[in-house]
Amino acid sequence: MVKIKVKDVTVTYGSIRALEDVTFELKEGEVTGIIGPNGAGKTTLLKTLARLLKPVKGVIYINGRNLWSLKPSEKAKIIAYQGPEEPQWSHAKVLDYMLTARYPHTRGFMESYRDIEKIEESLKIVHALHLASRRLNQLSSGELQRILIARLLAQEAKIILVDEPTSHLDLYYQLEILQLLKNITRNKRLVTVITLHDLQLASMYCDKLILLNRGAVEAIGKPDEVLTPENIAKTYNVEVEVIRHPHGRLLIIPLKLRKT
Amino acid sequence: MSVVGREYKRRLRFFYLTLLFSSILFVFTLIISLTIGSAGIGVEWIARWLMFRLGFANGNSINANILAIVDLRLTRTLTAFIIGVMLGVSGVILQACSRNPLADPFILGLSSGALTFLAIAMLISPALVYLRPIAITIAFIGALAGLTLTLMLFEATGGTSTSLILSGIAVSTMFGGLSLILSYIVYAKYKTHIIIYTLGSVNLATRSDLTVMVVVLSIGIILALLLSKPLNALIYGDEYAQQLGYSPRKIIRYGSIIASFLTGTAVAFTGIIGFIGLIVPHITRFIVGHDHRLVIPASIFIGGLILCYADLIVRLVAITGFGEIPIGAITSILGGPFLAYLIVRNLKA
Repeated sequence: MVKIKVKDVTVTYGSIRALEDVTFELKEGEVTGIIGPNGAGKTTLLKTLARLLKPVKGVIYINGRNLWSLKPSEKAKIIAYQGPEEPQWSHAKVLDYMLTARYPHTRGFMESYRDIEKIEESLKIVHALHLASRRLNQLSSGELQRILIARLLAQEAKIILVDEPTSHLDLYYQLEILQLLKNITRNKRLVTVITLHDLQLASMYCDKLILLNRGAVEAIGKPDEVLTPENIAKTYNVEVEVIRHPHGRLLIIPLKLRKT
Repeated sequence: MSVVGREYKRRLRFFYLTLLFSSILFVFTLIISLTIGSAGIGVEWIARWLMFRLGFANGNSINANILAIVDLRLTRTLTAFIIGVMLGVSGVILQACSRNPLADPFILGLSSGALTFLAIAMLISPALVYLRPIAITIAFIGALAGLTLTLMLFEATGGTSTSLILSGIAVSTMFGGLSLILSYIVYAKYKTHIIIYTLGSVNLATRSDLTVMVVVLSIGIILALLLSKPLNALIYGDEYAQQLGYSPRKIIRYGSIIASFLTGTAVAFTGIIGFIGLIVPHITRFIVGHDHRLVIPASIFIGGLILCYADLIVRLVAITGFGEIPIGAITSILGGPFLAYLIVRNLKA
């Protein structure tokens, strides 16, 4: 069982408050989407969960243990983070990159048989085994995104944090990547947290949404609870109509900008 | 056998083959370099020298002059090899730490920083420079000072790849000029040619220096290998390394210390030899790939061999009667165009 408990977390950049008294809980097997307008604190929240940013106030508990009390190597076995940036040093091969994901687990100087098996399995899950000896800069955006997910899997962390997994992807790959994340979250009982701009996609693939507004949680819950015309108007300043499609899906139709 | 397992094994096999091939090339190069010089010595004499040195033959089998010449050439060749390794490994570490394919101990101001500090020490007391451990320490601090200054300038200028190189050029030019002026003052004061240091020569080291160099090199390589996994994580990005549990600042700090230690020692013994640290990482990565656990051991041979051949060119030129040109001039002739090629390739992409 993996459980994350975020309690009264406040993060500041100098004098600017990026997150204020954020509180929520996440459990395994669910994909949680962080949504909200630009500058609402989506990336800041994700980085705080990844321990890349330290809260000035509040605590994050992972299975009852304070996130900041973990050793760095221990943390890396539990939490895997993928930022919006592509890996630099793109002359390296996919295999080089994948091997580094095993470092928190690799005891000796070189990889064990298990490390290699794990990488093989992770690449297989994202259907990218044939890309193993390609250079990173020879991959298309869709292929690269799959490799990034394979890397998260190879790190064997129970908590996966991905910033904007669908940016720069066409419709097909957007759906493919989100479906992939959803499947692995279910099958491997992970806690997955992603940030998203596209509300339609968020409603389709996330089990839970956290709507941020100026660093504070505006709403939290199932997509149809969070994505109401009132909430969207209040945070995004856009008037929308939300229709429930006969198949059960939500359709979010922007109408006009709200007068401020 | 799995796909990944096969690829992993294939890569390791290729790495071992590279090591095997380069050790054979090293022995071959060593023999050639013992025969070449102002006095041509045949391979047969080299064999006799070897038998004598290994204790299989008595002194009657070899001419005392030849014995002395071959001994000297051996010291010189091994010096060239070791210095090549030091600069090559420094280059590998610096390029990985900065994620910049143009980084090199000469360009980033380590070499001229070390030389400036040596010249200052020499002005205070020549004894400081003749005591090798002290000279190495002074050069190490100088190299670290040069690199630190470059990194400070780099931070202040926004941290782009180009600004790192420009910062390095500013620092190395400044220290270069300073060390040149100091070397003239040293000459006026002590009538000693520290000036030869500014373009490097592998002819300055003695046999006892070799022992010191081997010790420094061994320490440097072990430390570099310990850093190889963190470097592998760092090259993909600071955040990436951080989420794997590494501290990017610590990796860069340790990397800077190791590179300064190796480069400083190289400068203390043979002066400034540029561009080896630039070329070696590229050639090595081209052969064995981008895993620093393989790149660092392979760069030992690549770095050593390249400087051995640069020294052979120096000796061949000397035979023709032009005298002994500095080895740093040879490496600059080879390295300059290589740098130009890298600039074109990187700025176009």
